[in-house]
Amino acid sequence: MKLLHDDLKSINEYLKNHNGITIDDNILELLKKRKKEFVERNQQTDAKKVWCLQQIFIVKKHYITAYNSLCKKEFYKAWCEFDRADIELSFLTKHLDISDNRYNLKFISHQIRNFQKLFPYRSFMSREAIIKKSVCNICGKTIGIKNSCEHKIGEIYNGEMCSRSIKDLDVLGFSYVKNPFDKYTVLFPKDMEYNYKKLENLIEHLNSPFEKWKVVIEKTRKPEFKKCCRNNPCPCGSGLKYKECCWITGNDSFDHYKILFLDKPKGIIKPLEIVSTWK
Amino acid sequence: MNKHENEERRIKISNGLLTRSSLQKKDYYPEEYSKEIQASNVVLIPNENYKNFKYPVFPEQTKSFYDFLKDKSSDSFKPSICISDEDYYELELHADIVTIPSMIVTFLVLPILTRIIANYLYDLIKKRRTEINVKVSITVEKNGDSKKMDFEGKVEEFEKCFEIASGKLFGD
Repeated sequence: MKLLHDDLKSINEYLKNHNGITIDDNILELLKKRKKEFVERNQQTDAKKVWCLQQIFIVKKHYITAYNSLCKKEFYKAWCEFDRADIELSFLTKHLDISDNRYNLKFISHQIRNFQKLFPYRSFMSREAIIKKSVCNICGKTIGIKNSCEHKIGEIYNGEMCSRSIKDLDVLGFSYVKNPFDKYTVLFPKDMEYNYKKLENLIEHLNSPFEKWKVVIEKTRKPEFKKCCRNNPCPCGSGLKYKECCWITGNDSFDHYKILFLDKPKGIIKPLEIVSTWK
Repeated sequence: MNKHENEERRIKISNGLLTRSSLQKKDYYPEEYSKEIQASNVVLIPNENYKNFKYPVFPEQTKSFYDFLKDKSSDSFKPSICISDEDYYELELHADIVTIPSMIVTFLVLPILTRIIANYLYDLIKKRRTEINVKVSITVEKNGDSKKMDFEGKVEEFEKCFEIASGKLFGD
């Protein structure tokens, strides 16, 4: 998908209507140029509008790259790209309402969550650190709790988003966590290989990153427990009655991930397939 | 167990070990900001002895939280922070739980503070577009007595839990 004219109105229309597997990379450079002109003339509102368009481009670029990485079975790369798209989108939502699905951003936001649910990653690393010095990226001033610059994190100044740049920190340690803030910190244990079967099944049937689908997770009884009565010996082999064992702990069930394609005609139902986290 | 009992279980209430007067004896107490702290009714305080780090630390995003409180300040809501710029360190844990900085507050300001913290957390949910768990620890003073309220749970439950627990805090 190529941009036909390089004025802001055309770029805006292009980004609104874009739903392809490629995106015109020239847009970013064009937007940077326009933004520079607005900043030089101190047209802050216009510079901010261009920043929003830049962010929309960046979100879409990461989302498409994630999808294309999945198609190439580069799963970890796809994971990081989805996360990056999500982070960039979170910067944008403070300044642009996406609830009406302008630019397809609400759809992208939902689909990132859906894709993330199908990844097998459950173990992550988390850093514990003491931030000793950070500076404002807009003015370069050191951030103090009492005396600081007037710039607020997340606000747009001269067409740039205000953030903190860490200049000095002490790392205290690393922890194993299940729900990290930084999703890229996936652990890859030696001699173990993640099983991406759920994603492979999905990608096999998807034609575009903008095709509508959703994942529904339901608790389903494991096959060996299906015909077991509560007073029977527990199929897990504990020697206890089922009702005193896995019926209580919930070990008789697993999460059934149902993928529903909303754009395709009804008909094909693939049989249940048991997939574990590791190969 | 009824719904109220369930909500109360998420808050642990204990006798407060710190008061505003004992705060002044702390090494980190910034004498140069003493007037400001004395005049305030919400004081953010650091955590001491975190994994043998030699300085007291505040949780990550304390600066944003403190700025948020300052934006809401009024005659009846006066926040301050008990640290100088030189001694200010933030602890970054990168976990999915949001830790609100510990505070010592007067009993009267507690309802307003609870509402303001809830607003801060809802803004955060809007920004992150995901469910958030939160940790809040507040020491409340009333007539020389102090109680510590520790909450850990979902953002949606925080405000209700605090409202219920604060009503019974000093056995009124």
